[in-house]
Amino acid sequence: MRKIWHRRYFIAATARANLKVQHARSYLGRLWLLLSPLALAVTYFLLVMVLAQRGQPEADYFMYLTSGIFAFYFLSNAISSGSNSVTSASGLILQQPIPALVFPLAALFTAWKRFAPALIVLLIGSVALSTLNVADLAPIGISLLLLIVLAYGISTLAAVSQVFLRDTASAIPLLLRVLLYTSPVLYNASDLPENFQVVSFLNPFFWPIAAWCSAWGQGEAVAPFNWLVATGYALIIALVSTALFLSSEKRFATHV
Amino acid sequence: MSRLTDARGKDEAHGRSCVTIRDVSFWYPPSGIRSLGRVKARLQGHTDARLNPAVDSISLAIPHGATFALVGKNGAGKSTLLRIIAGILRPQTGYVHVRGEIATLVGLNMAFRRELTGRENVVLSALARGQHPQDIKARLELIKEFSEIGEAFEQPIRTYSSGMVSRIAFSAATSFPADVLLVDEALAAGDQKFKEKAERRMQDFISNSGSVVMVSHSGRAIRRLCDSGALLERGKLTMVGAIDDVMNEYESQ
Repeated sequence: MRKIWHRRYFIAATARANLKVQHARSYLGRLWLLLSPLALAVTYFLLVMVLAQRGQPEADYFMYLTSGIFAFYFLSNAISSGSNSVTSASGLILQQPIPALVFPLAALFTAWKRFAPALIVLLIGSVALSTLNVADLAPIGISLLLLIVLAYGISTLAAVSQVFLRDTASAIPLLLRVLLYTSPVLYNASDLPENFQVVSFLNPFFWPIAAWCSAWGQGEAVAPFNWLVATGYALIIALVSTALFLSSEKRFATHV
Repeated sequence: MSRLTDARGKDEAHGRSCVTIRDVSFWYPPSGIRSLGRVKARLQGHTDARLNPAVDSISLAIPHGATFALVGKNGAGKSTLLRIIAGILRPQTGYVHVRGEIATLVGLNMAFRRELTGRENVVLSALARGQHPQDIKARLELIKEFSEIGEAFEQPIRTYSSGMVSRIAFSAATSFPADVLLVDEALAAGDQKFKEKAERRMQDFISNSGSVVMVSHSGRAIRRLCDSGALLERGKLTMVGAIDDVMNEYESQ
């Protein structure tokens, strides 16, 4: 951990570099980080609020849907880039001794930097539509923390898997699609048919996303059981993936 | 900083050695380990032939302040041993103890990102080594000056020639203090004039009481820079001694 802390500036600089490289040859550059969530929010606003032409309940649904989509994109970005983070750093790994955990952490920080403008869009939207209460801030903060821990855990696991099994990167988009449909993003968690509940229970995304979306969109906290499962999933996955990563790290240089 | 990779879990008194290697062996994993073809072959009863070790039961002590060359033909295990000393590769048996801060000049151009400028790449590679941003900032102009690439320093690396990339990589890697410098063919960086400049910088480093472990195919550079060395053959250590003796033995093979 001391070595990782010693590389904190490297993690931050890598995240900045990743964003720069991703937008290197685009005219608007990093402005897209704000424009993309804004355009997505406007699209959903038009679909839910204007075309449907209903009142306040649709404002809640709009916030629920948009916050869910943004949270899912954050998880999806973190996992996709995290899975390639070690293999794409083969040059550095073969050049100098470096704690490899910095690479999934840098990928996570990159995903966070992409997600931060979306948070601003969400805040502006919720203030404009009067859907946010002060009491919602605590569940929003806690569920955000759980989303970050979960993103770290799964992306670290994916990074190890990708080193030893290159099929991982191809399987991840498929897995993410399944996770999207079994997470309460496009529908409310309470609307889930009974026969789908087992599938959702197994989905680690389900619980923090349900808490996150409910806080943004409905102004009411989810049940304590939901928090318990969300916390359990996030912590267990983060701990197991860290242990697996550290125990496999010594073999990375011969497999990247 | 002291690094200990110890299969037996023991730290020992290493005298005045900056690098102590005890009974180190290393095997690369068989290729194709992740392919379906290999799974199929296994199901059909074929097993992987055990590869010869790239480094085979090597024990060696490199004294503090030495300029030490690892000499041998291609495939002798020189670069693998250097990477084991650096802590990049972990040996399956034995241990390596390095006293002090390590700097590596290994695969100089590998870690650069093409879309980033020379300046950004230098900063990123120094941060990866654990350097503090303020120390990097203080040395950036010196690195730019030493590399002699002028305003190209602010341009993306993708616009550089391979010689320019080598120059900037060498400048960056040798601009920060270290106790042990590990060098793998890095003196091949740039044109003849730059090679001479690089050798002078190496000599400066050595005279500042650092230790150097070097792998190079340039017999002339090795004789000029190094005072002692080891000869490797198919992963085994066959000779350790004064550099002229080691080079004479190598060249007679």
